[in-house]
Amino acid sequence: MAESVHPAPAVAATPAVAPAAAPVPGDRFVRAQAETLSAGSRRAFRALVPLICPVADGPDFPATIDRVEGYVLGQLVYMNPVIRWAFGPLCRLVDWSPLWRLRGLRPLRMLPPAKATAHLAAMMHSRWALVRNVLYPVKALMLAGYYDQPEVHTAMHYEPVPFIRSRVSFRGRLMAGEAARPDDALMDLPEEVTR
Amino acid sequence: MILGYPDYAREQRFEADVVVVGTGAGGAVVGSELAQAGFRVTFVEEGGWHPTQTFSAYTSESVPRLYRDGGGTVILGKPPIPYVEGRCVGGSTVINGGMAYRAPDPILAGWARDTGAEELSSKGLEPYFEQVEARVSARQQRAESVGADNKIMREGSRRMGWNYSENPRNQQECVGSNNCVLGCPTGAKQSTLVTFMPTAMAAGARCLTEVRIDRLIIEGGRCVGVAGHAIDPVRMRRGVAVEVRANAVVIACGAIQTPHLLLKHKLSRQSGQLGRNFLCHPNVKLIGLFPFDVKAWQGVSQVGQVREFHDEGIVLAENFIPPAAMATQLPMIGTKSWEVMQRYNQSIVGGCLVEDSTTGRVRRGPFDMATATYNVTAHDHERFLKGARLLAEMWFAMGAEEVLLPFISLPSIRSADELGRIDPSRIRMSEVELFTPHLMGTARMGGRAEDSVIDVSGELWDLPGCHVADASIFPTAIGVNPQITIMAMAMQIAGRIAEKRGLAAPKAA
Repeated sequence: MAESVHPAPAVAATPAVAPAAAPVPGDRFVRAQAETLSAGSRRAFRALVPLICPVADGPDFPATIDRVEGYVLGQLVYMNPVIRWAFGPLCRLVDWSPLWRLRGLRPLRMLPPAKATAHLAAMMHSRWALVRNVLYPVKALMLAGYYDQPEVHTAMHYEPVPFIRSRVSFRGRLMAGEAARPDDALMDLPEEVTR
Repeated sequence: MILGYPDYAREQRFEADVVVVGTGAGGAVVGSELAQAGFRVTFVEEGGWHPTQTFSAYTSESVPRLYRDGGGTVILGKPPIPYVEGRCVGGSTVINGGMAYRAPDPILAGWARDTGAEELSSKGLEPYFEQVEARVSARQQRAESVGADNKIMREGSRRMGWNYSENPRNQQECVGSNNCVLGCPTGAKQSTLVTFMPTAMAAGARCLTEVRIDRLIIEGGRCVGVAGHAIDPVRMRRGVAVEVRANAVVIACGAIQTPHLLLKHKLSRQSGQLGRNFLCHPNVKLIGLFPFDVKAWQGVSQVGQVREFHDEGIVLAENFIPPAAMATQLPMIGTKSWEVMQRYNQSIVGGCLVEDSTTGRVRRGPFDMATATYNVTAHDHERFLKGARLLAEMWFAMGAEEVLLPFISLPSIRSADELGRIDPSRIRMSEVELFTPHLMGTARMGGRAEDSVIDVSGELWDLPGCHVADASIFPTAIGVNPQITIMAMAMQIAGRIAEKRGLAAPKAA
């Protein structure tokens, strides 16, 4: 049998490269082609993003809706065939939810944003599981896509990359036999809490 | 040697002494043990090989690499229960929280009694637990890895007078980078990716990645191999057919995929237990908001567990989740979601795990998909609510301003005065949002073919040559994180396979 181009992994060692959003040299992961939506489903999807994600009031970054769409379609391709097939129609179903919920004749994308968002929030808390379950996959993927963006993390003061890099360095020192330093400790609770 | 999708254009048929399907807590251990014993071992893994250096804090990068179905897996039922499974070399051990508990002695005593097999008792499994714990470096965390969120849990338990147990975790100098659920980027978490798999490779094993097995090869009433397809990583569709023939087959795909595969062949008809006895430790998750910074992303996830209520089947613990995951759990959208997420640094995510009081089932469903069903009981529902009350009470005692709840009709409370609203008379079972990472029991081990799927050697009663070595072999739920017990039982099964073929299992290092 011919030798594979993929050598066996070395026994684990402290990694030299800190994790980042950029590709790591030697990473053989091949990303799948993103899912696509029909024109009508895409129109509904892009109309729902600013209703579900805080596009207007949250951190401002370029091409927000495009970025959320890129995330969602990039993740969708890895999901099971039922979700992949149903996602587009679910977006349209959610867009037209005022009609089938007997709340009005216009789709959400034609309503004032505040009213549309309030309608979606009511769906989230509906006593009918079917209503909640129609919205859930759409809502979950959109919010995940929005809150995975680096600009949003910065606005939240969530900085995992430099923190992880510092921890990789700390572990390297420990593995080399050094002792921990006082500034390796993590934050304590406020005094008024522990008193 | 590790093979990936491009390699199958050249070669699609393989032979081995032992083929192991799955490289998680069960498969990696079985394969590693047998490779060290001198067997020619071939692993087949549906996911890819993703080394430590590729792990990222972004779900857009990590979830496609490491999670089955993009993390979008759900157990159907009342209510539905989202779950997660690893789909990569290392399986769920790459994405789990790293807790390294043995199954409790009473559980193992019950297993030994019910199966008639003393080797399943705590005494019988003791040497395997010791070997596994040494191999994965099961130990408690160093002080510098403990963040403020876990200090809240620890101090809160002390203040409430509750029993708080520090977790042993499979870690080597863990420094609390808290990226466990997206892959440990420091190499500290001793998943099978960085322990048993490298050992197996060094002993001559090979690993076929990006291959999904969809049937057994059965000839003359004996299992002689497995067959499936390579998975095109670009189109996520089936590619060329691949098969591995072997003298012994070990299925270790987890408690949902293992029965899904075996049910294709209508096995275990005498007991009818294949796919049944599905157990899942359902969880509820709460989010506490505090008036001070906690920065739960700094410091290891889940240093300890509140075990005060363990006798009732209730365990409380903290779990960090990245922002993308936390946002999906919020009972709000739009601007209101941002109002909460801006307080990410002041939040804790915690959970209440409930030991199963019922069982579900795994079947082959529509479109040939694995379909799991499970309906919680009224007793479970009461315990979810009790666990949520207890956790919220502790957080309020530690200064929380608000606790976001997993109840559709009660999304949040703002003081301990409102705890009484978390009550079965106000919150319906169908309106509780559950979650689980623990899946067990669907190919249960037993002493008789009439009531189990596999015998105590791990071999199917009705299919010689086919073994199972993952959490599906548990006869009952264990009420603790399962990976150490899976590994110990897998090690025991490896020894049985070796003995049957006239070779001794490898001695402890």
